[in-house]
This record gives sequence, structure tokens and C-alpha cells, in this order.
Amino acid sequence: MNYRLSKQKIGDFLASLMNEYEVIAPVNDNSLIKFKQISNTDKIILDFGNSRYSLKKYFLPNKQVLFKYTKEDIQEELDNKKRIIFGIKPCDVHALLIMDKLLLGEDLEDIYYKTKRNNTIIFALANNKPGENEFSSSLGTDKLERGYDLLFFDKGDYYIIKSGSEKARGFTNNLEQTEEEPQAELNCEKSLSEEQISKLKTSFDSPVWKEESEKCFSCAGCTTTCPTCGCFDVRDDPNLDLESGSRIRIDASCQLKNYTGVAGGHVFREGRDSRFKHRYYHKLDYFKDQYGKHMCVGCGRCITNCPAKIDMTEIINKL
Amino acid sequence: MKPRVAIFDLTSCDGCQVEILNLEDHLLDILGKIDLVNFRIGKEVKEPGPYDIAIVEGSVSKEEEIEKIKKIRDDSKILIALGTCATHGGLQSNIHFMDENEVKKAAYNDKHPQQTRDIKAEPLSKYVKVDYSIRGCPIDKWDFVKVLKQLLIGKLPKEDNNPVCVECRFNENVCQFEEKGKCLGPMTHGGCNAVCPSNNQPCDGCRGPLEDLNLKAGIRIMKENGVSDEEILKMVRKYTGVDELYNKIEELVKNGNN
Ligand code: SF4
Ligand code: SF4
Ligand code: SF4
Ligand code: SF4
Ligand code: SF4
Repeated sequence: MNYRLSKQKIGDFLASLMNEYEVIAPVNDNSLIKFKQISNTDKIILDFGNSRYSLKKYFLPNKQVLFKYTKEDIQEELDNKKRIIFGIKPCDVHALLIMDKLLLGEDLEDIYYKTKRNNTIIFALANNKPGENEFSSSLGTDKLERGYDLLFFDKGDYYIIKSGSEKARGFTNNLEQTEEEPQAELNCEKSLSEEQISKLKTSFDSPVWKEESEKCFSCAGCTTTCPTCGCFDVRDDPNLDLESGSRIRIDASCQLKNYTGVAGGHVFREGRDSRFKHRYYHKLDYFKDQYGKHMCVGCGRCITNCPAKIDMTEIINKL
Repeated sequence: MKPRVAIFDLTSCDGCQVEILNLEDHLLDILGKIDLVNFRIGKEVKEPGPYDIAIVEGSVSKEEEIEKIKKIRDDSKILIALGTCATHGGLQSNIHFMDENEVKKAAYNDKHPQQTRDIKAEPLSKYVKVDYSIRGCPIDKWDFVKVLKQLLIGKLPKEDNNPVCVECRFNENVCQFEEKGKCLGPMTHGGCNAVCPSNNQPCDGCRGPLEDLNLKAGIRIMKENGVSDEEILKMVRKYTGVDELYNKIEELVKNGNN
């Protein structure tokens, strides 16, 4: 059983949830599509490829206070805000499922991530229009089996909505029911075949890494905007009394030289080429060996946001 | 005992010191932790050394300033360079790339005769050992607080060495490479919260080049985007052109596709 909602009514539908939830949706900001909290549903962009920046800021913010400390006490800063994110594309839902593997593991649970994750309702939007440089159809991350509370299919002037969780019931009570089974087809211009990806296994010493890394700034544009890069650093920020303060975590990136620096000043991945190469191996090789699927969901953001126009698919296709 | 801290200035616009004054209420908290014995624009009293921490704004641009900075160094346990003038010579370091006589003609005339023995503006590090640099033109006042806190707990701060791009992405900006085809952000020390690209201006590199910079890539990409050789040189030299990491810039820019 699915549901049907006329497109004209999507604004009212989301507005009706704003009392209880912070509603996040894609908007046009300074000519980029970004996910932002909205108070006015007129601003929502309904027809778009994907957002320029990823949604990880709602789950693993690039800068976050973990707890505040005094001499006597520690006070954890858990974000219990109830949120709905409308318009997440399938590849980005897959990205969350990957983050879950990292941060909600059985033996290692990140309470800060978990709190945000549990308090966030996912209204995904089935894909019919690829994001800039997206190649998710190559990786099978253009479609969703799970990971959503509601999944919206754009049928022109109405949506067919699939419900994907217990939690979703509360949202579908007043919606019209339908037997219509929706489908979404995505045609990405870019592609990256499994066969090509598997060449990584024998390309560790390929000259491609050195050659291509010479074009790279090591600016971290690719990792900061990637929805599945979750590397961070943890620091203390003392207050002026020097007795109290905050412990913060902040985005880190394997592309930056300081990332592999350790006490004593040694840097493991000193050369730009080894840092450059590491990202490809982590996204498309190491992770799969460990977790059974690629860490890359093919959203294309690392390509779009690279000031040096370095294209992951081109690099792998060169191997 | 509270540490004795002295703030000095050489050739500069006072902008970085004004940033410190802009800390307002926080400044009072800081003053509770240190003994500020010299701060020309904020305080009347001047006390002689020794100092635990000397914070110096400005470039060394006159012969008499060479002696002054050496004396400050001798008097101080820790010497901090404050702002781009002190770390790299700043805007006035452009004189290294200009005709000196023309600059003098423009600066001095009958009404304003030359009274100092000018030398080419240089960073403090040209003459003395600098223990830490608070970067930027002007500095970020919170950067100043951060450094001071580290010093107060007895640590010499450690630099992030992250490019401006990191904070620029945190701010979800439109990249200036797309907008204007140029930006020094990937090659420049961050910590300014990417204030220029966040206001739709390319980074001019005021916080100085990163040791890890990829200058060749930067030049190549800017050229591909139609930025002229002169423009690239002007950007790089605006604030920190004297940095030795930029020594080969002219050659690299002229060499076309290097
Ligand atoms: S965004 Fe591009 S230039 Fe920057 S680190 Fe990544 S690959 Fe290199
Ligand atoms: S590596 Fe690139 S394409 Fe893959 S998920 Fe990250 S940003 Fe998207
Ligand atoms: S690619 Fe780099 S920054 Fe991203 S998750 Fe892997 S190691 Fe971390
Ligand atoms: S605008 Fe400049 S600082 Fe910002 S991401 Fe682009 S290159 Fe980096
Ligand atoms: S963006 Fe660049 S020019 Fe602007 S303050 Fe930061 S380092 Fe200086």
C-alpha cells in the first residue's frame, strides 16, 4: 500500500510538521542548491539533481562540541532536536547507511551521531535527475530498498509515497492511499564499472597516482564535501579561566599533511601522491574488503567541488 | 605570578592591535590573567623588560627598527609576530617588487620630507627568531585569544596548517575558482574562517603560503581559467610575496604550462 499526495500540497504537508520538527529541505542559496532549515515552504526546490554540499552536517557536523568540562563536572552536549529532512536523494541515504557502519557498530557506538540519527526523520526523494557528476547508477546507489521513513516518487503533478518504517505511520495517516507502484530510472552520464574499480587491487604502484596528484592542491575540497568521509580530530578548547572548557571534534582529511602526523613530528603519508592515492583506496577498495560494499556512493560531489577539476571516475578509468 | 606581556608595534597600520581592543569584555578577562606592561594604543604606562611574552605588530621598515626588534628579542622569553606585516612584511613589502625610487617619490614630497632611514619592509623573522606567528591582515581576534590561552597554560601553540579551503567548505561557499577563476585559498594558511570567499572575494593569501602548497597546480589552473600572469603575480605579492615559498613564482608564471 502506497500513498498519494498532490505536488501542490507538499508545502502544506511539510508546514504541518513544523510545530514538532525542524524541517530541512533543499533551497537555492547563492545559486547553489543546499539543504537548510526552512520556515517558508515556498522556498523549497522540488526539481533538482543534488545539493552541492552533503547532508552530513546534520549527523556529523564539521565542528561540534562533545562536552563541556569544569574541574568538578562534565556535561555532554547531545543534540536531541527533532528533524525531518525532505528531499534526500538515494545516494545520500546510502551514504548514511555507510556512516552507520562506521559510527553505529556493535562494539563502537558514537553517541553524538546516534542521537542525531535517531532524532532525524528521512523523507527521501527517488532519483530521476542525476546530480552534477553523479555516477550512482554504476554503483547501485541510485535506488533505495531501505534507509528511509518516507520515499517520494515524483510523478509530475503528484507524488507516490512509499512508507519505509514504523515511525512513518504518523505521517501517512491523513494521506490518500493508492495501489500505484512507482518506479524511478536514473541515467547518469558518468560511469565507473566494477571491473575497472577492481583494477585498484593491482594498481597500487601505478604511475597514475604520482602523475595525477601533481594536479592536486591537497585542499580537502573532496573529503569535506563527501557524504561518507567521517574522519575527525578531537581537541580541547579551554576557557580563559583555564579550568573549564569544551571538548570539540572537527573535520579532518586524509588529503591534509597534518592528518597522518603523530607525536614526535613524524608524518606517515608525507607525499602528496600517497595522500591522493589513499582516498581512492579507502573509498573503493579497503572499505569494501572490510564492510562488503563501497564507501563511495557516486554522488559526484568530490568532482564538482574540486578546484583542480580532478575527476574520480577519470582517474579510476585510467588504471 | 602573572606573566609580563608587552605589545609593541613597528611599521603597521595598528589594525591588529585594534582587533585586540575589539575583544572588549573578553579583554578584561584576559587582563585578569596577564600583567600587560606595554600596549601603546590601549594603555599609557610603559615598563622596561624583561618580558615573558612580547607580541610585535608591524614590519621592520626602518633602520632604527632593526635595533628595536633585536632589543625586544633580547628582553623577551617568547616573541610572537602579530599580523601579516610582522609575519611577512605585509602590504608594504610590495616595495620588493617595485621601483624603489618611484615609491619614494610617491611617498615623500616637499610637504612630507623623508625623515627616516627606510629599508625594504621585512618580516621580523628576517632579523630575529620568532616563536609563533599569529597570521592575517588583520589578525582574527579569536586566534589571538586561542594563542594566549595556550601560552598561559605553558604551551607554545601548534599551527593547524590547514588551507583556507577547509573552513570555506564548512561555510558551504561558492568556490571562487568557479566564480572568478582564481583564489589563493588552497595554498594559504586558514584560520580566518575563510572570510574573503565567504564574502564572495577570492583569497589574496594574507595568512601566508602553506609549506605543502602546490604552486604549479595553482598557477596552471588559474592560467587555464584565463587569469593573466600579471594578475597572478599581483595576488601572490599583495601581502606575502616575500615568503621564500614564493621565490620561484615569477619563473613559474612566465614558464607557461610549466
Ligand atoms: S578537492 Fe581536488 S585538489 Fe582538493 S584535495 Fe581533493 S582532489 Fe585534490
Ligand atoms: S568519493 Fe566522491 S562521489 Fe564518492 S561519495 Fe564521496 S564525494 Fe561522492
Ligand atoms: S577518504 Fe580520507 S577523509 Fe575520507 S574517510 Fe577516507 S581517510 Fe577519511
Ligand atoms: S573559494 Fe578559495 S578557499 Fe574557498 S574552496 Fe574555493 S579555492 Fe578554496
Ligand atoms: S581568506 Fe585569504 S586573504 Fe582573506 S583573510 Fe583569509 S587568508 Fe587572508
